Amino acid sequence: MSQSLKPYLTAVRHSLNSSLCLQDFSSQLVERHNYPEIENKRSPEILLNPLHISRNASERVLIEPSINSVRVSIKIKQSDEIEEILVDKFTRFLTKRAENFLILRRVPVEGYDISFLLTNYHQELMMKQKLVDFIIEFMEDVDKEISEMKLFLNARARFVAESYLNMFD
Amino acid sequence: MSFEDWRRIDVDQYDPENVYVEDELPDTRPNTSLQDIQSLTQTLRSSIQRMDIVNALKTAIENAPYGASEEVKDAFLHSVYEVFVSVKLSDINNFIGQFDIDSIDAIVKFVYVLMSKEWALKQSSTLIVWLDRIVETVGDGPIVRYLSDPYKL
Amino acid sequence: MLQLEPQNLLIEETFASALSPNYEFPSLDRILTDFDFTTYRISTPEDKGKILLSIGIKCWSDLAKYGSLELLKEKYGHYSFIQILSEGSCEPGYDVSLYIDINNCTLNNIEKAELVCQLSLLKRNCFAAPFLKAFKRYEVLSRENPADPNNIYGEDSVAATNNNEEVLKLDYRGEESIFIKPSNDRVTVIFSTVFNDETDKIFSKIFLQEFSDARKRSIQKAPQVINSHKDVPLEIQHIEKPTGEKTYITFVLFPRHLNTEDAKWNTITHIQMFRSYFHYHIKIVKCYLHQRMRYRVQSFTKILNRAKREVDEAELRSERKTASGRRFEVR
Repeated sequence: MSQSLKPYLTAVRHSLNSSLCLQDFSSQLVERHNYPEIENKRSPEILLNPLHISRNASERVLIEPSINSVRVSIKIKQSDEIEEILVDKFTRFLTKRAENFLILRRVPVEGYDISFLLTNYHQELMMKQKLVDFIIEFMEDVDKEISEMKLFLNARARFVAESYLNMFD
Repeated sequence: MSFEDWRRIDVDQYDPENVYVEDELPDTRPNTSLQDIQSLTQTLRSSIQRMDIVNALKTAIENAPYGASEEVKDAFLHSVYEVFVSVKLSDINNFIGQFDIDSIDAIVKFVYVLMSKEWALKQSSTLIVWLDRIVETVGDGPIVRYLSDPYKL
Repeated sequence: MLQLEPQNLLIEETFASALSPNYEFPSLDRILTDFDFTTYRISTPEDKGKILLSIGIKCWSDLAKYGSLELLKEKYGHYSFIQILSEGSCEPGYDVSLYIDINNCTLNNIEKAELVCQLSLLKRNCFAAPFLKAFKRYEVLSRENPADPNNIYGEDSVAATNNNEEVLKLDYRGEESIFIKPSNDRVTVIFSTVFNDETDKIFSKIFLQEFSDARKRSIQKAPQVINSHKDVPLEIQHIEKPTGEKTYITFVLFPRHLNTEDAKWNTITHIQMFRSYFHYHIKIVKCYLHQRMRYRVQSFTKILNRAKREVDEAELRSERKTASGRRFEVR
């Protein structure tokens, strides 16, 4: 693991740990409604300060906590055109399968590549520590996956080109 | 508004309880001016030169312009940023030991706010190390207290 | 499958069985398709023993201009039982038809195999004419003005000496074209291709980069590959308007690719497949990445599911107690 990745991930882990303290909370505005307060942001008294964690300009996490929900948005590293495409494809692939993921938000928050929405219901269903683990593991694996895909792409292109040109011999 | 539109009238706006009033906070400095920040920056810079990071940060914490205009806050953050990034990564642990818990809470707050600024991203890895070391020494407490901190920058 | 085969498998099978000794003569009507909008029709319009093989190619008018029909006559004309029909007399909707009278075929087995092979390569044979024409022109030019023998790969020689040389152009897919330009020490083949998809465009850049680099790295005998996005290569600037959307791939064929009859045909066979090969492999890569992402998503789902609390209903019921510590009885 690289020198700056570890503090970044631990910072995210601790920030998540601290903000994942959720309770059931019925809407104050509409009777018999109950919804993630972070998504409508209409009651400032139950929103908490957002946490920004940035490793550098292209890799950052935004955690927006509220009384019954936390929104976690991740910006994945994209250093060139190919990585941009791979990240875009990958996140699109994930969001299309959002129902399997429960906590995945179908549309990422603006400025980020992928967002998770954790509500008190998810916390009842799942163990908090494991949820945090999941997000951290996700962040690690996505980076790894993107760079592996890029390497594969280059290797494959080289192989294809060489085997075509070899036929002229 | 024509008469047929009566259903569209937002009746909630006439509800006196619907308006959220921010709590009155003691110890804010809404009147801090840019000049004040400039002189503060000077003080901080001379502290940095003497490598007196602890005092620099303490001065910054005491003079934080809570409740002031965005411009003033931004100028303040710029000078605090200078303090943070002037520290060698290996020294951070030493400094943390010299702060009381309230100052650490403030430092955590500065770090989080700085990481949200576009201009601070170049050196944000230093800021992360600060956060990492603080959590290592004192635990998650400062983060939890920051979440509900009414004194905003 | 790494390489695309130049022959059409279905034609090959059809004729291999038709020419085999115990062929049963069914009535045929098959429409087959190949790359670059090529269509074949195999049918038995009059007699079950007479097979009509028609081919329709999008750029036939270009090919005919460069002598494809003559080439086909040369390739198939010497078989007495094959009639070559073109223009007015071929099957409507197609460009050339071969009318093959199986009953009168008097070939031995080896010759039969050769014929089947040639029939399945019908598309390549059609496309070969302009290349052969350019190669002939190259031979003339190189005799008039021999290239420096010390400059084996012709890398630095100036191709500007014969700028007035005719460029052969095939609009083989409507928007996309092949340009062939002979010169005294080389033949330049330029493909223009269009990508409808942004992703394909970027993937193609990586692929083309590797095509260009491959020669520098290891395969010195291959043609030189130069690619340019948007800019029209110098050789064809006078006939091609820049659109800003096309990608141009230039193959520089050196004397070693053109000096023997076998080398020529080998070069033609492979170069006319280039576009198909190139696009095909971009699709394969996308397909693979898709599979990979699917797998990755599955593994993420597994990790997330691990986070779920395992709630066993029966266990929960037995654990449930009243305030005084008594258990619920299940009746």
